[in-house]
Amino acid sequence: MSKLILVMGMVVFSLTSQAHPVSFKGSTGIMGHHSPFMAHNQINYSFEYWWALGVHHFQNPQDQDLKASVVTSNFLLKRWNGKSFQSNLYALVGGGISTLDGIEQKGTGAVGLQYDIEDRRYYFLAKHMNLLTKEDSAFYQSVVRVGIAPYEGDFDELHAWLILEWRKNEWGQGFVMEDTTPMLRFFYQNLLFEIGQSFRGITRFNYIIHF
Amino acid sequence: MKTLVLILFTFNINTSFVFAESQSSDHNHKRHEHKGHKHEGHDHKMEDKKAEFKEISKDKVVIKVQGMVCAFCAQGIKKNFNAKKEVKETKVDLDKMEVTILFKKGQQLSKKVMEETVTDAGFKFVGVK
Repeated sequence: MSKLILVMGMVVFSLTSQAHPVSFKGSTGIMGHHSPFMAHNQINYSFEYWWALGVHHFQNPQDQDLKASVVTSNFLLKRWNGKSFQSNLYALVGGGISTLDGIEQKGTGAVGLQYDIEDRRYYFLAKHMNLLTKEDSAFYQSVVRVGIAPYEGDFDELHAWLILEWRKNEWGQGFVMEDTTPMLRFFYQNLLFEIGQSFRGITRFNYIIHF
Repeated sequence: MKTLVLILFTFNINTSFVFAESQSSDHNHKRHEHKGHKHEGHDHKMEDKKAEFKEISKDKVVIKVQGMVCAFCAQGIKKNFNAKKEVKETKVDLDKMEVTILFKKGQQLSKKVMEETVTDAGFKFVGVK
């Protein structure tokens, strides 16, 4: 049972840090999430502004045998560039190997869909993802985020955001977990980080750097 | 004999005049070479004037960009413009949704290249201000 909880924790936090699955053409993005359950790092290269390839590795710090490596193809399906806003629709498909039971290595598939909209003051994101293995039942994750910027910073200034994240995770075994996390987001030029603690007491740290 | 000398003199004046004219106004480039460039198919004097005009009046361009609401995401615009050899510096103004491109001396980017650069960064090119 404790092993199952560790797996759940790992999967929960492995899929929440993909804030920018595709960036500008020719860019490389390195991002990661760190929590008591998860060390997840990924690197994405955007061949086009609408297409990127990513390599992910995640591991549970509390049980080093629980790990997975996945290659993903990330697509920007549609972008709306408005006069004072931007809105995006992304899709993600991928596959790799995982040792989610801590014993046997298995083929793993990943699919996801994400929508976001933001202007300089407000931010909204909704995301749904599935992680599938051949023998185990699927994992489903839904995330909704809302954010507000206390001030509108200039291009080269430090930017700050207050974010509230709601997340629901379901496993095929019937286990459901919901959690809400208030977070602080800061970014300066090409470096971004977020830190927060959920109402269940789980501390989270995300970072993104692109160049 | 006198008539013959008169005819030859007249012919000489005409040919000299035509040759001189061809050197000054026609600017026949087949008769001479300039260092480092070819002259076929263009007016040399007009090109010089255009280049001079660009250097004086187009050392910077301001373009309007739509969708540029996030400074973190818009870093790509600055990076991709700065990577071009013609560009000296790029400034982004989120309030006005404008990008100012400062060129190196005598350098320029075409509208098409600027549009491609903005599009590759993920934004909509509205036009040159």
